[in-house]
Order: sequence, then C-alpha cells, then structure tokens
Amino acid sequence: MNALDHAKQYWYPVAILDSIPTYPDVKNTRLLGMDITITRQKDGALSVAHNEENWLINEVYDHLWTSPSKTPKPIFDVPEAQERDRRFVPCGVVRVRCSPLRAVENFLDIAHFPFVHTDILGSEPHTEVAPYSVDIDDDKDEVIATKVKFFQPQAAKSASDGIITDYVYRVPSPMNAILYKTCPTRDDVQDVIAIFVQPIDEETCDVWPWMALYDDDSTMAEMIEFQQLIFLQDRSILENQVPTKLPLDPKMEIPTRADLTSIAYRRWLKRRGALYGALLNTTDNPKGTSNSVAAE
Amino acid sequence: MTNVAVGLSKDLPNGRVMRAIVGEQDLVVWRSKSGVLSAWDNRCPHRGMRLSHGFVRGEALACVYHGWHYDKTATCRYIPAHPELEPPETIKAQRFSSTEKGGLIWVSIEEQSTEPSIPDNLKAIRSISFACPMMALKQVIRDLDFTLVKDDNSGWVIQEKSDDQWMMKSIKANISLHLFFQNLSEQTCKIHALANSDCAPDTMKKMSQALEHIRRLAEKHYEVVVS
Ligand code: FES
Ligand SMILES: [Fe+2]
Repeated sequence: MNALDHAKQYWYPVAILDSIPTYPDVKNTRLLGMDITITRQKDGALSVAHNEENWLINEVYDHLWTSPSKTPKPIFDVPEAQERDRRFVPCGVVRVRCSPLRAVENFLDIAHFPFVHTDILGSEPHTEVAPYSVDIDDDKDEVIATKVKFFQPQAAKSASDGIITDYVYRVPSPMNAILYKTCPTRDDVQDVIAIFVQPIDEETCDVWPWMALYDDDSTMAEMIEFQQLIFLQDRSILENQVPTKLPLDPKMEIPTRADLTSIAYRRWLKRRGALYGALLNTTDNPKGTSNSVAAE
Repeated sequence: MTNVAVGLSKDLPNGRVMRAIVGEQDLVVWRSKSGVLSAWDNRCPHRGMRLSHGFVRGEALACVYHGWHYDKTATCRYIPAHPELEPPETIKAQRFSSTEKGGLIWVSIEEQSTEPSIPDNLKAIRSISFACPMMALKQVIRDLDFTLVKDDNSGWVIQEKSDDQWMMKSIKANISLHLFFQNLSEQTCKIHALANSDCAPDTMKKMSQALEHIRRLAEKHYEVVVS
C-alpha cells in the first residue's frame, strides 16, 4: 500500500462543528491533496463531498471529521470527552507549512519548552528532561509516554506560579496526539489537550488544538488565546525544520534520551507504513547528514 | 564561484547570526561574542531546525529549538535536556570556510578556495536585495543613465571584472564603485556595494540612493517582462 492509500484509511478533522457556515454557504478546504466541500443542508445536516462524491462524516470532539475511505478505521477514543464537568475548548486552526507528522512530533516534545515557549511552558535553567517511559500499547496500537515531568513557569491559563508538571502522551493515530497534564487547580484530575491534524498535503497541515479542562475562571477567549499563542510559537519552529517531511531514517537526525517519544513515534509510523508526510531514505534528501549517535 | 561575498562585515556585529545562500547551499553565518566568524550548513543535526534562527551564547551558537550549543568547530558541546552529559564528539554541524576581506564576508562551499580578489582600501556602502533575477538586474545596470549618480554624467565606465564582481568608475569625479553580486534564487539576488576609501560622505550617500533607484528600476522592469 502506498503512503496516500495508507493515509486514506483514517478520519481527519476538517472544521469546528460550531463554525460551519449556514446554508447556502459552504466551506472549501483540502485533505490529502484533494479538494473537499463542507455543506450544512437546510435541515442542518452536514455533508462533505469531493468531486460530487459524498464522504463519510463523524461529529465528535467538537469537530467535523471525514475520511476518503468507505470503511475507515474506527476513530480513536478520548474517554474524557464524556466527562460533562469538563470544559471543551476547540481552539481554532493554525495553518503550518510542514509535514503533518512534524506537527505531531513537536507536540510530543518537551525539551523545547524553555526555548520556544520561554517563561510560559518552560524557562532556563530548568531545562533537564528526567527519564520517562515510552511504550507501544499493543491492544490499542498506540504510542504512550508516561512519567514525563517538566518544570513549567505558567503551565496553563489558570496557573499563577511555576510547578513541576506531569504529563502522559498518547498517539492514537498517526496525525492525532493527546496529552494529559497536571491540572493547576486540582490534584485529582488531569487536563486534556489534543492536537488533531488535517493533512492538506504532505508538506502543509491545518492543526486543530482541542482542550478538555477543569478551569472555571478563565474565559473561553482567554483559553483560546493562550493555546493560540503556544501554537504560533511552535509554528515558527515547524516551518523552519529541514527537510519539511519527517525523516524516518535514523541516520538523518540525532536523538537523545529526551527524544524517546519521538523515536518510538517514528518507528511506529514506519512499522505500520504510515509514510504520508515522511521521508524514508536518506537518498530522498541529499542534505541528510551521516552523523549518527545512538540514544544513550 | 569559489568565494562568494555574502554580506558586509559591518552588518554582522559580534554575537549576531544571519542566513546566507551560496548556490543551492543554505547557510548560517554567525560571529561569536569575541568576534570569531563561522559559516555552516543551516541545519541543526538534532532535529533539522535552521540554525540561522539560533542565538549566540558567548563563543557558541545555540539552536533555538532545544538549545543545543555548538562551538566554533561546529561540535555540539552542550545539550540542555541533559546538562550533565558530555555530548559525543561526533555531533557536528557541517562547516564551510569563511573569511573576511575588504569589508566583506566571504564563504566558499568548495573544498579548494582561493583568496577573494578585492582591493583592501574600500569603504562599505550597503548590501541591497533585489526581487528579480540577477541577469535582469545586470542588464538594467548596463543600460543605466549615470546622471543619477553624479549630475554631470562625467564619463562613467563599467568594468565587468568577473561574473559576480563589477567596477563602475567615473574618472573625472574620482569615484569607483565596486559591486559584488550574490545570487539567492532564480527570482532574487543581492548586491554588496563598496566605494574607494577616499570617497566623500555625500557621494557615498548619493550612491546608496542610486542603488535604491536601481532596485526600483530593475524590479519594475522585471515585472513588465514577466507580465
Ligand atoms: S533541533 Fe536544534 S537543538 Fe533540537
Ligand atoms: Fe511547543
């Protein structure tokens, strides 16, 4: 199966449910290099079409999802979406000129917090990444990173002082990732932040951040603004990584122990043939260095 | 094109970083706090971030993504995620040779490089970017009406010393203008301009304005050609 055919088996977010235009206006967008049109019928029912052909749709996690496949893999589960006392915050969309896989990998990365999200998610000299664990959950076929800890000066909109934040990361499908982190206001629950990535093509994506939080104080606008700021900072990185696609050849980039999640994610992608937005061989990219250092 | 002029020395003070292009090669050019100049492949070996977005920490260049430090030999010396770790010597960015002569920064991406040929006694005017192909720009300069540099149009000549180095001379007015061309892409290029060291300040200013004028002419001319 080629990279595109593989990618076609999944569900992808294409809009926030609440902001789909009303009849007769439509929203046009792209998915996996194909033009699609989102329509809200007179009776309110939604549809997604590519070249006159209707695709399956799914309304979940505050977004409209679609798939080019007639028999897509089931959409991943976020059990916290059932917890009605959480606040669900779709944060809008950020267009990034990078591989959808690079966007996900960056979301799984904590070592950049002090440098990219300076004084918000991290700050010098608190740069150390303590050992953590990464596993592949064979039942769910997900990448899971646990016991991730990092010092954060302002972990969320509701945080006033620095705290050591605990994280768990899940990658339930190649272009979606979810993190669970210490809730600054309560110890018994965790905040949920996800990114749902819409692959426009192999080198462009729309990132839809989504949150399910326990935060009664901040306004919706404040929470969205906070998350948008974070993602705009990430974008300045993502649009300047070379090559644009995610290299899966271990010789092309040099990971360390802090990058265990990224290593597992890349291996997991390669093993399952999720190569849309990936570079398989160094020869695809003559600039690849031949340096190689095993993660110590 | 062994040595290519990529900028004016005075435009890269100590502790600063810039991006440069030579041929197909994307480069980071930076100067340490003490003034050591380096030119490397513009790519961090860790996760591919463009090093030209990085920042100088003393004698090291730090990548903006995860803060890895590279010393002047382009060897990684510090990984902030593992402060106690001494990074293996094999983690290196790719280096190119760089030098300074005549007020310009020169980079060679070829193994063998010859000394840049440039007179020593020059004064930098400015670097200026053009949104047009280098060929188009050169043609505009060849067709130039020189009254815009000196009102009296006093005997200007252009010597095309090489593909990327031209000299424009006015014998009467005792001005020599040295132009170093740098190709950036098919649609963009740069000129680094210098003048003879005894050139008067107001003439320098005029020449700087003349370059601006050339930029408008060349970009407009090119727009007309493509549309
Ligand atoms: S990409 Fe440069 S330090 Fe990580
Ligand atoms: Fe980030």
